[in-house]
Amino acid sequence: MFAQPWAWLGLAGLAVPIAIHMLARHQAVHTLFPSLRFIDVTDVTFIKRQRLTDIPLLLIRLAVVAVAVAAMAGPRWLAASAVGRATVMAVVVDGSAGVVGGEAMTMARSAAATASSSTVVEAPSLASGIESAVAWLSTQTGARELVIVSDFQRGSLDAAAIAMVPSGVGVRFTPVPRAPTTLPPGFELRGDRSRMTWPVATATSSLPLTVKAGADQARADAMLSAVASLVMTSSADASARRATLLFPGAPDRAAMVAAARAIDQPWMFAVAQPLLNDPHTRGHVDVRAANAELIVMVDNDPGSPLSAGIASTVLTSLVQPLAWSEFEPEAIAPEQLRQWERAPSDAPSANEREPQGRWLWLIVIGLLGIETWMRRERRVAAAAEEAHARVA
Amino acid sequence: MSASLLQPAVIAAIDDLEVVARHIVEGLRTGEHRSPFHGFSAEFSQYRPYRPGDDLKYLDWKVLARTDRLYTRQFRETTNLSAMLVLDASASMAYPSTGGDAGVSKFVYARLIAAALAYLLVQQGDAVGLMTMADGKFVYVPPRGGRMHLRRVLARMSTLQPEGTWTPGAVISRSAELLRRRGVILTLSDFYDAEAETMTELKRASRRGHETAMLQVMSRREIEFPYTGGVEFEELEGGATRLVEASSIAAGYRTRIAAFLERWRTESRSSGLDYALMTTDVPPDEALRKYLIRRGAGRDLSPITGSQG
Repeated sequence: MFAQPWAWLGLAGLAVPIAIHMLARHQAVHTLFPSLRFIDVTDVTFIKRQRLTDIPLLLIRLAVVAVAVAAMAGPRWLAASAVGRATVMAVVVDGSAGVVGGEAMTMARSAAATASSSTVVEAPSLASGIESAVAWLSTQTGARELVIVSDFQRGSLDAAAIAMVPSGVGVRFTPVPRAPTTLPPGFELRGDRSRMTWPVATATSSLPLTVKAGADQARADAMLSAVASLVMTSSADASARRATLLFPGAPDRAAMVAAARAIDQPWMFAVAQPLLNDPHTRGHVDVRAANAELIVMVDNDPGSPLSAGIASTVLTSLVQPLAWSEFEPEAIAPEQLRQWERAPSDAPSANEREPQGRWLWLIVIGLLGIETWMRRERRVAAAAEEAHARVA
Repeated sequence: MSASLLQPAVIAAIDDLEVVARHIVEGLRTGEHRSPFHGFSAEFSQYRPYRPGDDLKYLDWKVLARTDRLYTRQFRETTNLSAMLVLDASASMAYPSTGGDAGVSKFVYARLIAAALAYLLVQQGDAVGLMTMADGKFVYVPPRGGRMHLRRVLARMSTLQPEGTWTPGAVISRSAELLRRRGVILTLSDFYDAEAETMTELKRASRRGHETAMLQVMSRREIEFPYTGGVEFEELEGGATRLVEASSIAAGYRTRIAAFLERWRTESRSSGLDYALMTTDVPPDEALRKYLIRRGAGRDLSPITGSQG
């Protein structure tokens, strides 16, 4: 790579020292000799025009010109890793729920194995993964490439995310199969997106959270229904995680309290933790486990806002927050992906861009020194010969 | 080759030619070398093949009758031997002129050898003279014995500089004439100039009865031609220049210079002349020792050169 490639035209200057040496042939070495009787007459034109004098000095002068031209051209040295175009690869693996994790990771690793240097970044969103990968690639030299392994659901990748990738870094997409996704009950998503049905109310019976309030049961159910409609719960883990809010009026409260034990499931801690961390609720609740169910004992009125807050917190914690994008039935068009794809270029990284001709100039100076020394030696020798001739 | 402290470059740095000559000759003493130069009277020394010009009275008729070969009897001279050192001081002897790794010039080397020979001969009680040419004129020091005369010869040698041209035939001819009785003419040169004339005069001197020795002094670079690329050669004597692609002509040059040296070697051998090739990369005492041993042993004409030769 050269900053000024046109400077190579200066190589025409190599003709100058050659011409000088050919012309210098006119000044043949003068030697006194006893007799010319045994010396043949030769074609002097041949001597003058076709033979070069002092080949070592000529080579030095040619080297001076060539290296100076190279220095003017401004070469950019490539790092050792870049020589031979070693590929540096960052592989971003889509870590969202819609991607079959094991298969995606296998494909990512096999892609990374083809590079001389690589890293695999798994991120819940492609944008954050690309950001991390670009940061790593900026520290590398050579032919750099970003490989994205994803199911490329519509909305998971956009032009803004691709724009984060510097020019010169190649981009390649590796689609993976999508995990089958099922919409929660009560939800319907049409392919034309014109008719999407959102739950406005959910029957409390389908919820994983049960409210028992005795005489206030109706009011408690109404509260739970409203909360359920707000959090848009999924029923994905409803069967696995269940909880009961036990208000003071609950008929079997005493028996349930007696049967309850300390919570022993991790998910129970996860559900109870927000209640216990919240200063408003932690003085009004007590949590226990009974029959693989979380028992939340509330000492407040079921219709109070505090009770609603407790119910909301527990319900939110019980169900996994849904990433609605995972239910996107369509993928980014292959044409669009091909448009975003690009091959890695030979563009140097930031630390390769600086022309490094100064070392060549140092070599030029060294060669000039040698050339000067050789010329001086020849002058001294010629002067000595002349002096001897005069003495003789 | 034994190690020598007298490396050519070290010796060349010493100004006093007598000191250098003494050092070289003192080094030779360790080998107990007797003078290989023989006169023609007194004590019988050895046989040598007959050469045209030898006095027939020294021909061994008995050996001729037995072997049908001509041999001349030589005697260790009891009277003084006269030796003439003929030194090439032409500009071509200034090569190599750069010094350093190229070594000393041929002239410096030849002068060292000549000085050592002069020292050796004088020490034996022989007479030594000098003949060369400078600025187109003969430089002549008549052969005499004695230490004072040796100093005179060496002093005259010291003043010589390799420049201009010379006519070796004339110098050798004049040397042969000036030696009143049969003596030794030692010619130190690269023998580039007037090849045919030089050989003619050397043979003539030999026929006059003089012992004639040729010491051809060459530089290793001159023989191996290590030049590459474009080189403009300037001839030391004439100043002419030639721009060549040295690498492309090197092979041809080496072939021709080898032929040139071989020509001198075979010509001298066929003419019965004493010949030695010396290269300036060999320490002079080592070169002189080998030369004297060779002369004492007979006619081995292999060159006295360094490891390459």
